[in-house]
Amino acid sequence: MSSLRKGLTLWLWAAVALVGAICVLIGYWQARKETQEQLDYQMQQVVHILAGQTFTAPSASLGPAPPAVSPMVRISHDADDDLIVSVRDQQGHLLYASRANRQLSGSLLPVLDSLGFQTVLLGDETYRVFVAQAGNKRIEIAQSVDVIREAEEAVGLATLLPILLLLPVLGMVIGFVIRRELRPLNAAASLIASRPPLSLELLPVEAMPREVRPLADEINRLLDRLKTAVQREQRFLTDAAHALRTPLTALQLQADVLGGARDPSEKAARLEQLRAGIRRVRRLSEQLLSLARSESTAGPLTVSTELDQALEEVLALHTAAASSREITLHADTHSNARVYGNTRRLTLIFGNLLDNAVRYTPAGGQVRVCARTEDNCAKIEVWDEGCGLPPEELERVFERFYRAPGDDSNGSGLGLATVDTLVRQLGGRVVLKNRLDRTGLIATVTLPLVSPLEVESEATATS
Amino acid sequence: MRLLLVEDDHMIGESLVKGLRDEGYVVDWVREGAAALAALRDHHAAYAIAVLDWNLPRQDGLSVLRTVRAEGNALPVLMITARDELVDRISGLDGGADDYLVKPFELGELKARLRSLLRRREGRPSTEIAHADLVLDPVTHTVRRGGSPIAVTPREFTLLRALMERPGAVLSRSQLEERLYGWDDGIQSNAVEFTIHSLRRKLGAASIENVRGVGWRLGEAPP
Repeated sequence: MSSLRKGLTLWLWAAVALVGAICVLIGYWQARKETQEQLDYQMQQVVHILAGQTFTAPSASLGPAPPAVSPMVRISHDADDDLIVSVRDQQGHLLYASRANRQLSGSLLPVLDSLGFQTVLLGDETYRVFVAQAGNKRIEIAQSVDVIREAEEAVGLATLLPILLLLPVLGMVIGFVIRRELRPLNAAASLIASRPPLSLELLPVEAMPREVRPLADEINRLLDRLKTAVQREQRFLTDAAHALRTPLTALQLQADVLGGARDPSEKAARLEQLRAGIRRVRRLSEQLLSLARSESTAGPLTVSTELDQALEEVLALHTAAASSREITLHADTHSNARVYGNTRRLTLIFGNLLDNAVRYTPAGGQVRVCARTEDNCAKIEVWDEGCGLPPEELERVFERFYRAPGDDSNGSGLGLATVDTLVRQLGGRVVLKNRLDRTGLIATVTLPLVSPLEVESEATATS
Repeated sequence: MRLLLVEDDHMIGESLVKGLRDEGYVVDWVREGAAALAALRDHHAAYAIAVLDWNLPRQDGLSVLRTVRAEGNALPVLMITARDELVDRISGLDGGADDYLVKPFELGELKARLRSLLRRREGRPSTEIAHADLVLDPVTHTVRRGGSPIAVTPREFTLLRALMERPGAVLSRSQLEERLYGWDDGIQSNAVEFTIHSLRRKLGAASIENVRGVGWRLGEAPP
């Protein structure tokens, strides 16, 4: 899991370290450069002073330090960083040599031709040399590069120290500030964590920092949708439990009276009733399952089916049930229509409608199914010869678990609700109306047609 | 003992009729509020008790009950319903139900509650009905004399029970016939005489007296 605090801290630390390193490098380089300039300036100063001096005792050979040299010339008393100085006249006679010069590898600073600063290798040591012509004197000043480096490094390190000391302090400050500023986020997190596991209460967004608000708002919207879904589930569960009560009561009583039967034929009759009760519960549970499935399978419609073929399959499934009650099934399915939805869905829709039609039609009656296309829609009608419904019931029977008064069919009250849900998902609608020619109902399902273009693309997609 | 059953569910009704008949009740079964109202208003029906479903098509059980209670009908009524909320139970009882049973329930409990209601109505402390040394137990459907059991048929039991419930009272033939049969059963003309004859044989000739031209009553306690 990524941690905002850890990430921020690490990245800021890295940035500070990088900037610190750059500062250190630049500072070090700058310090060295300045030291170099300083030392160069020093050598120029010495030249300037020597130029003003008069060297009275010209000597060609080494000798003791000439007394005429003023104390000012002794720039340093430390033998290591003493300046190596030689002053010569125009003929090249040495007028003056510093002590360091005399000690220099046992030889004198050689005569150099060019003026200005230059680097010279003398023996195994490198020297920075400044050569100047002052009147009739030629002055050369040299300094060991090692000595210069040492001085530079001392200065450079001195400038580094404060930065190096301050970097950890800055790091700690960054850590502290991040921790402090992320506290509202932590508070929000612990607020969410401390809620009961199944709580769907909305988060109190007012108390949250502005940056967290969009996230909290989004969570709240999600919670809201979740709440609606959970409420729908709960209602379904309550309704289902309630709907199970009546058939379960029947089952309980049927089992209870089984023991009271006096003769075998009575016992057989009661057992058959118990079986019918079990069939009823089973049917209800199947209906509940298909309703629950139909409500949870809403999604984009990508599958289409030949309507006529699907209808013929459904009709074939109901032939046995119809003929056992001497009901004739009439089919007029020549719509040549292609509609959305897979075969399972269409079978569920028209199976339920046909089931009802066969159940409510008295023995010896007729049930008719016809399909046609109309206004860019497929129209499927199922006609029965039952007793119809009072006008005020025609819409109510689509409600879940609702059963019309006086309905003795032991239906679950779920079939039409399932049909309605499924048909809506396919973008169609279903209506019931009473027949005008005689008693009975006409269930009309209207489904949008799949355009030939889509059929083609589907064919190419599957091929 | 005549019982009115009001239940719209076909399967529940069918099983209740069987179970209650096994218990010795004469059961009339109606399936709608309007029919229930008509049956409850019919004084000739002489119901001892009613089992009433709350959820009925068109007119619900509670409104039927409220109507007949307002008319002064004090028949013991046991309400059966799938509504188990406290408010429902309260409004059911306040609406005039003497007892309330939530679906799903077992037949045994329904029968026990019916017996309890009848016992309370008759002011008896125990379910058993006793007259002299004769004891009738509606729970076990047995008759005992002086502790030893006497085998009786359901019809004999029902008739004896009718007489024992009102000791001393003379019950007419039509009153006894009503107790013996529901609406659906055809009544054989000599069924009451036949049953009384066989009861006398089992319990002794003096156990049931014939009051000529009026009907029958329990005999005086034997010496």
